[in-house]
Formats: sequence, C-alpha cells, structure tokens
Amino acid sequence: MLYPFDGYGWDSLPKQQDLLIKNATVWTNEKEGSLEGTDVLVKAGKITKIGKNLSADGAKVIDGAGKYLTPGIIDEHSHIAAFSINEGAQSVTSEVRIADNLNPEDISIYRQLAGGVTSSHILHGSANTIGGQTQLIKLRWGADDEGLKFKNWDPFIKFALGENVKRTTSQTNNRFPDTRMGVEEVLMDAFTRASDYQKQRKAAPNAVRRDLELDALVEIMEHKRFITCHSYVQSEITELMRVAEKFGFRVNTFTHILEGYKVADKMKEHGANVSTFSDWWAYKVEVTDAIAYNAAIMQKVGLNVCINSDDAEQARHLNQEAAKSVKYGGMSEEDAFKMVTLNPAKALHVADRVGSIKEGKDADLVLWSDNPLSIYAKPEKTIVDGIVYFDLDHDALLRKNIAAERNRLIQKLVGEKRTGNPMAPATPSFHVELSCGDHDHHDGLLTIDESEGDDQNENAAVINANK
Amino acid sequence: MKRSIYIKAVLALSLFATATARAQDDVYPAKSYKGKLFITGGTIHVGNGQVIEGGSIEVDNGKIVRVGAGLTPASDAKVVDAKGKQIYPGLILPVTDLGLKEIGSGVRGSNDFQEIGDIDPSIRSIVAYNTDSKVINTLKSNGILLAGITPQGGTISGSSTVVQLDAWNWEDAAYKMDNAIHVNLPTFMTRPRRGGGGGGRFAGTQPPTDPTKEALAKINEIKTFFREAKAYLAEPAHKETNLKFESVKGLFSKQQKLFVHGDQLKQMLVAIDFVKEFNFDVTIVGGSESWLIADLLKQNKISVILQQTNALPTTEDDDYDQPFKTPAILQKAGVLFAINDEHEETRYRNLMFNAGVAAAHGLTKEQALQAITLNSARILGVDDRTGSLEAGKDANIVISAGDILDMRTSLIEHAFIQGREVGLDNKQTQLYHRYLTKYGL
Repeated sequence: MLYPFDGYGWDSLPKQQDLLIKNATVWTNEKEGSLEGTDVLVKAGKITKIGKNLSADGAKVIDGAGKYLTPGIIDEHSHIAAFSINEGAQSVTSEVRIADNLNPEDISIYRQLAGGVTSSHILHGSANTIGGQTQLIKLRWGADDEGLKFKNWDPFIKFALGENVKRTTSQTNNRFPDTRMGVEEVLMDAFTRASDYQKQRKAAPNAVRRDLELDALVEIMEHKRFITCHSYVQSEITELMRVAEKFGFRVNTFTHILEGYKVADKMKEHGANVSTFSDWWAYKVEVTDAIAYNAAIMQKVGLNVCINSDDAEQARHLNQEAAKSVKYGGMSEEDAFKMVTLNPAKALHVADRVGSIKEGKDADLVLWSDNPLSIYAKPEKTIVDGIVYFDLDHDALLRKNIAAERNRLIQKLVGEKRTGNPMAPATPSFHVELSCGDHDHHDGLLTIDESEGDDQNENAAVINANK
Repeated sequence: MKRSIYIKAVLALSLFATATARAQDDVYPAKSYKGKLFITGGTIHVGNGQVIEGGSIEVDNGKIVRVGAGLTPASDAKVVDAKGKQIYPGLILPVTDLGLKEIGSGVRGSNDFQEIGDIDPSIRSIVAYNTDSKVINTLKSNGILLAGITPQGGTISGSSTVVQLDAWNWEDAAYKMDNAIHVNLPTFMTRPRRGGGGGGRFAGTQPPTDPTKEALAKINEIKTFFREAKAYLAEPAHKETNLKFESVKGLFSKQQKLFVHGDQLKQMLVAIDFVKEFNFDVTIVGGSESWLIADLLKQNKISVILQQTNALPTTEDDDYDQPFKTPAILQKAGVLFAINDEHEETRYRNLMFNAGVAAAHGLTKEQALQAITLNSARILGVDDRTGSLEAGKDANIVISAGDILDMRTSLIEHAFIQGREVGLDNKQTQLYHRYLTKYGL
C-alpha cells in the first residue's frame, strides 16, 4: 500500500520526529530578522527552541550549515487537491464547500512541497459573484482528505467580481449579471435577503426554514465567516467595500487585485488584506492597467500584502514571485519573503500558528540550498508539523524506484506481446488541472485544463468563462 | 514673439520631462546614433561563455569595434560608466506573438496571430506586427531587445521575422525578414473530450479514431507540399506563379529555417525526416520531451527552442524538476538550444528568469545566458549581427545593476540597440510614478 497510490507515495505514513536543524541561516519573519549559524529545535510538531549550540536531546540532527531555514510558504489562492472548483450554475452559491471534495492524491501536493509550500488556501472558482466556501489545507502528502485540513481555522468564502462573473468571454451569456452594475445588484440582493432571513430566524427560529445559502451570508454579517474576493479593477473594489460597509462587515481579503494600487488607501481604510500576482498583466481587458509595482505600492501604503499563485505551476516558485518585488519597487528581501509566508498567515487568521519561526509555532519549515529569494535556491527539505514531507535525498530514491517499476512494466508488456495474445494499445491517462480561471496554463503534455476539449456551444462557453 | 518662443521651449521641456518620468504611455523610440560610444568598467558577459572583468566596449556607427580590458575611449566618444555593473548582449525572445496579440482573452479585434487555413506558408507575420503594442516596452526595460515574431495558425503557419524592439513601424523594426517557416506537427495523442461525468473529471473519453494514423496522414500532406514545392522550384519557368511554393524557396536554398512546433517524442522523430528528406535546417519549437532523444537530435543537427523552463512535468511520474533541468541535458549532449518565454500572463518579460532556473538546475550562468542570446541568434540566423558582444556585430547591449538571471539584481540601467540608447520607460513604470505621486511616496 502506498500513501497515496502514486510513484511518489509513501510505503508507510511518515511519522512526526523531534528534529534539530543546526547552524542554518534562519529567516524568522520576527523582529529578530535573519539569524546566522542558528539552531532550531522541533518537538512534537512545534518549534520549541531557537538559539545557538542547542542540545539535540534525542532529536534527529539535520545539518543546516550553508543553508537557509525559513517558515513554509503559504499560498493564499490555490486550486490544487480538489475534484472540482466551480459551481457555476448560479451567481450565488454560498452553500457549496470545497471541503466536501478534496483530492489528497493530487500530485501537485508533492510538487508544491518540492517548491517549499506548506499550506494552501483552496478556493472555489470565480464564475460567481458569491462563490463557495473555501478550505485551508496543509500539504500533508499521504494523508486523507480530513487529514489535509488545517485544524481550528476561521471559515472563509470566495467572492468574485468583474469579467469572470459577468461571463465576458461568452458570446451568448444570458445569466445575470452581465455588467459590473449587475454584480453590485447581485450582492445587494443577496445580503438583503440574508438580513431579512437573519431577523426572521432570530424572531422565530423554528418557524423559518433553514437556508444553507443564506446561512453562509449571515455568518459573514456576524463576522464568523470571511471573504476572499477575486477582483481586479478599482471601480469594483470600491463597490464591494461599500456594499460590505452597508451590511456591517468588511472584506477580509481582495485576491488578484491587480488594480489595487489605484485604491490602496481606500482598502487600507476599509481594513482589507490584499493578495496579488507579482507581474501578470494584459491577458484580458481588466488587467491592462496591472503593474508589477502593485505589491510594492500597496505595501508602502501600509496594507498587508500577499503574493498568490492561482496556478499549480506558479505555486512551485512563489519564492521567485516574491523576489520580483525586490526588482519592481525595491522592496527589502525580508518584506518580500513575508508576502508568501507571514502575510498570508495574517490574512488567513493563522499567524498565531504559522508564517514565522517562533517558539510555540507549528514546525512548518523549509531548508533551502541558497538565499530563498535567489533564483538559484532549491528547497532541500520541506517540513510540516515536524514531519519531513519532502526531502531531496528521498526524492532521488523515489526516482530510482519509479524507473525500476517502469522498466518492470515495460518488460511485462513486451513479454505479453511475445505470447501472441491480443493486446490493447497504450492510451495516455490525463491529469486534470483545475483552476479558477482567467488564464492560460502551462501544463505538461499529459495534463489538461478543466475547460479543454469543450464544445463551443452555449454551455461550454459558460464553462470556459468560469474556468 | 520672443515670449511665445520661450513658452514653447518651456512647454517642450516639460513635455520631455514628463515623457521620461510620469506621463501617459508616450515612450518614444530612440533617435539614431551614428557616433562613437564607449562603455567602460563593467563585467562583460560576451554571450559565448567568455567573461571579461573590468572590460570596455567601443562602438562606432552602431557596430561593436573593440571589446576587451585596457581600452581607452576616443576623445569624441560618448562614455557610459559601467563600473560595478554587468554587461550583456541584448536578450532575444526567439518565438513569440508579441505585437500580434495585444489582449488574448475577450478582445478578438486586438489579435492577429492566427490565420484561417491549413497550408499557409505565404502568410507573413511582419506585416501585422504592431510596434505600438504596450507589451513591447515592458520587455525592452527587462533587457529583451530582439524577438522572433511568429504566426501560429493551421499546419504550415507562415513565416516569422526577427525584429528589434525600438521602432516606429514594422519596416523600421524588421531585423531579419522571413527568417523561418513554421510548421505545427499534428498530435500523436488524442486529447480527451469532456465526458458527461462533470465535476471536472473526464468520462467516456475513448478516442474515436486512431490518432497515430491521422497524424501520419497529416504529416504526409506536409511532405507532399514540400515535394511539390521542390518540383515547382526546380522548373526553369512557371506558367502560373504559385505563391505558396514561392514562399518556401528559402528553405531549399538554406536562406530560411524550418521551425517545427511539437513537444511529443513522436513529433520530434518526424522532424528528423525533414532533415533527411529535404536537407532543411530544422529547429524544434517546444521540445518538452527533447531530453529523451538528445543524442539523436545532435546527430541530425536539429536545434531546439524550449518554450518554458518554469513548467509542469509531462507525466505524474516525471521528476518534479524535469522542465527545469531539460536545458542542462541538451547542453551536455551538445544540442544547440535556446530558451524562450511564452507565458501568456506575464507576457514574455521573464525570459532571463527562465534561463536563471536552468542555471539553478545544471547549466552554468554563462551557458544559461548563451541560451537567451548567442544560441537564439544562431537558431534564428542572425548570429552574424547579434547575440554576443564581439567586434563586427551590432551594438545590442544591456547594462544591469547585477546578475540579470536573478530577480533581485536584474535591474536594467541602460540598453542599446544598434548603438542608440533606447528608453526603458513603459506603461507600467509610468503608472507606478503616477500612483507614487497620488500617495505622496
């Protein structure tokens, strides 16, 4: 049995170990900043001690000399490890939950561990103004769907604005809304219904039928569920903030937010976090004013800024994405790296447990071969809860095993063929890459975008628009 | 009268000032510069693997005259102090729809990269190349100074042209006209159609036909076209002129290259046929699986343009870093290869970082640089004029504050195309300044 059943799966589930990483350059993300020649002791999945010349005290020693130890990368916007992403039939689907369809066998989990990612916020797609409930996971490769979930976490929900919601790429859209004017109306209508429902339920809890869609919206108004909203242009950003203020809540995070730099002051006043792409632009009209300096400006204005992937490939080098703000806008290396670690932890309300190297926090750590913002840096070990889930040496062993197994299967096929028995031709098995959607993907030959191969009929146009 | 002249002068000055710093998108191509130029004191990365510390480059009338340490500038030379800086050849984006596609999604009117039809060799990308594309200046400011503008439609898409990125119009831009003919090889795999199962999974995806048989039939059509073209071109005179056959004349005379687009191993094996039967100069564009047959490619003198280093592996069982290390495998086998950037959302400005990733996975930094400069120039057929900092070549030069392959230090301070210093402003730097102004930063 393998966990999961895959060439890169485990023979048996990896166990938590006490670890002592010795003599590394430790990027703490705390006020101590970067500490050279420092040891970090991990016990029972937590960081218990940071200092020089720590005693191993029975812990397994990992030599960190010449290497860099950082907190694990946290991706604020991801679509891996799920069987489906978009419930696109209506513009309000607050009742659906990513948590109900996690896919713990997605190879992206392993590949992203190899890129230093330890937590990912798995979001619903962007086809709807009010999308589904999201799920924060830790990349515990080998665990089942329940095992992936980040425990004791504030629930979130995905919202979206702009072209994806109004189905811009569809030639035949007949689903309301078709404009940004309509998007505001959808929001006003949904929260008005939710307010009425809230009052009625309070007045007579047993007389009003429970509505799962409105329950989620009431949770938002009662500050028990938090919004991360796909958004690009300044008009729609302001519009959502004003709707939220009317109903007494705030937008927790604006995600993508490529025109965020235009209304950074307004978002700061509202109290939102922001999560953006480093240098994406000009792939559709609503991103033609996107600039690579966006993160730097928003940070200078005082916002909590994250860099997210929204892409199974890009998530493998979020450290490089963060480094682009050193180039574009002159951000310090420390601040840039926080955009993919501590800042998303804050935006996701889990900074008390992850996002920095601090005694008492979860041992979600990455040991890098080089300065983590350098393009030459490679994660050598990625640790979640004190368990080494990715290890360059172990990876080398798996490659050998896979090559041997491939050879064994080929020899078996050749042997079968020699018997003269009828044989079926080999057919490729495709890996489906899900996404939120508004962009092209750079998948390998045997991966396929969710929307690929759709017929160009009306329904397919809808699916395409919300990919 | 005097007063009005004065006002005009002030206006002109202030216009110029805003153009270089914080105006709307009004970045001008540079004026031609025929004089002498002397870049001194930097680390020169020649592009052929050689590095010269504390070297200088002398330029006259747009051409590099001398490169080396211990040179002194002529008295009339414009001197550029590059002390402590890194000097590189202008980077080359070898295959791109730059200037043909402004906004890919939802704005059909801005797209001219894909023509209708199947066998379209006489289509010429250059005539649709829009020098006013807002994307171009964001490449130039990252050190990318030349690009291969490529059509994408049908099976034979037409010809690409190499352009330099600082021009008023496409005739100014053209650096080497119609350098290559582009062929899209048919797939040997049937991609699944969406099944009824929903949920993002594919059900009922059995291929309706035999993909290999279909692909081979299509390949036969391509070969038939070239055989007929060859026969036509061998005729001393033609009763009727055939534009399609005429357009591939350069392939047979080796004035043009054949760029074969494909990632699959079987497609690349077909590319070898084009060498063997027609004796074309063949380059594979794509080549995800090229590492599997590197020796075979080397034997047949087939070069490769790798589209994207930061990419996902082909199959689930592939090494997680296979796309990162494919360049190093080709290098080791002696295959001539270049690295490209076809990323649709960052719009091709991360070319040097695709090379940087390859340098982190087996290439030396100079080899990685060569994969985006001299190798690209060789493959495109412009290495007699650019791709390295050597005497006799065009002064296509980039000066960076630090290592151009690493995000943290890839800060372009000067760029020269044919000796003229080109502007590094673009729509994004202008919006940056606009909003720094708004917030008083």
